[in-house]
Amino acid sequence: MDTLSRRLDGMMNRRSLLAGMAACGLSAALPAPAGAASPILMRPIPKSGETIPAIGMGTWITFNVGEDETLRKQRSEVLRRFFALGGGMIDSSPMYGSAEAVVGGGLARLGAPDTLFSATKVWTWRGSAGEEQMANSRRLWGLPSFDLMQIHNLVGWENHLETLLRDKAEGRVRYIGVTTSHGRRHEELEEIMASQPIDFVQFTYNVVDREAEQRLLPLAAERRLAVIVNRPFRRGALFSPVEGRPLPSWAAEIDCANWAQVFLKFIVSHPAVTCAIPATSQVVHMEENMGAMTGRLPDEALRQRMARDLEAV
Amino acid sequence: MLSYSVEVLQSLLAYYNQALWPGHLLAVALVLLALLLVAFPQQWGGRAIAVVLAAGWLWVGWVYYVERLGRIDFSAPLYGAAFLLQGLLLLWTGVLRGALRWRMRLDLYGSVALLLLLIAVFLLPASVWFADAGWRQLRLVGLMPLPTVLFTVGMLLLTASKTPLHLTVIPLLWALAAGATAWTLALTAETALAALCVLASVMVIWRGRVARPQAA
Repeated sequence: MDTLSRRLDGMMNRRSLLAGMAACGLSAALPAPAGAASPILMRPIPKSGETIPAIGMGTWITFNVGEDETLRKQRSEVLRRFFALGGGMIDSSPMYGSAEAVVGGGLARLGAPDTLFSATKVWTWRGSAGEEQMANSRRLWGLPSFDLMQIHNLVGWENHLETLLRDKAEGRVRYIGVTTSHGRRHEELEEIMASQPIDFVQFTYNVVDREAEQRLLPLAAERRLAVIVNRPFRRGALFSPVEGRPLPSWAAEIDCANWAQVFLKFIVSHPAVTCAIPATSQVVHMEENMGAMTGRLPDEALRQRMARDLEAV
Repeated sequence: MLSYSVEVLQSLLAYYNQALWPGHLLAVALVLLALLLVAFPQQWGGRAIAVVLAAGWLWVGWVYYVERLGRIDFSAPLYGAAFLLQGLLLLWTGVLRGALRWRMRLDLYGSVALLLLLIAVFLLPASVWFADAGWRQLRLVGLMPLPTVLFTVGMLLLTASKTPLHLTVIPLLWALAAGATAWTLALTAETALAALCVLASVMVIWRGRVARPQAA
């Protein structure tokens, strides 16, 4: 499979290959990239059929390292490992301090691979400032356009949506979406999901915060929206209660080697989820996270059991 | 909601101190001058102390918050604006109106003031030094928020007449916010110092409420 992948690389890039595979109704598992042991889990973007790796990378806090060259180089190593293990989506925002600049610096250092699925956000109340902010984001990332532009936390969404639709029509962005990480805004998010021509939606979902299962995830499936899941580890809080505990017996049934993979497999096994975006500043954690894209996934019965068992913890 | 880690904050502080050197010497000299003017009052001392305090707030507001921390923290410009406002209030009250005079006092307010000044000027820098963090982690009055607020609140407890309320509001609000931040980052010493700042700010307000109007 590696050989096939390398041969095909010469003819077409990975992304167009994925889109073609999905359009033909082929499996969403892609041959393993260099460094990965087995095929990785890919998920289709419902509106286009293009597939992307089911585990992406968030940059909140972890990539906001300012001017420190040592820390920037460390983050570049995290990025290198991310891509080596088949990573695709990187999600950031102008709200994340220097994170966009650090991602851009890393991409310049490593070279942006074909697998990169660049996602950032517009975050300003002033509709007129949105275009300038997005142009600045392109400059910081060193990219001519983004794959996905989202409206951060629904801030000024009515104004920005117009701009985003125009940018999409003119090719400055391929997909558009909205995000929230606040449960209290789910109602407004639902209204947007139900009524606006967006491609992606991003919200919080994890084995403890499962409110999205009631309405958001079914609505996303119904409206054919790709779903990005933020805070998959509940800002790291999921790890404290399980620290030092052995993995449950069912973890072996879904090929999990650590708790990060348990938490992530719970998320990406939901049929409406497209991509989870854990954030990390450590290469070793990145390796653990990316491991969730290989091996078996839990079925619905096991998902229920996982939720029950982990709630008890 | 913090957008950076302690590690990154320490890195930012190291770059900041490196860029400022040898400006630290000027900051220390100005602070010692202010303390001398409290111990040995001069006709022009009140205005001079107000200038020193205002300069610290303006510097921290613009250079530290807006120019430096603003690179990693979206809320830093808001803090910067508050510090700039406090600097302007100190200039207006202490320099233009000449409404601030200082004197040493031996009551409870004076003791708390002394404690705050001691921490801000000596103990905070010394603790960094002895913790092996090196001069790059140095936090000095007039250059970093915490010692600047500690020093200012300490000085406000030493005003000869009651302290105008408008000079206490921003230090109090900052101490509350900084305390919450330090708590989030599990920085025990900073949390305790912010709590001390809150307590002292309340004492400044309390002293203003119970102080008798001074005879002209």
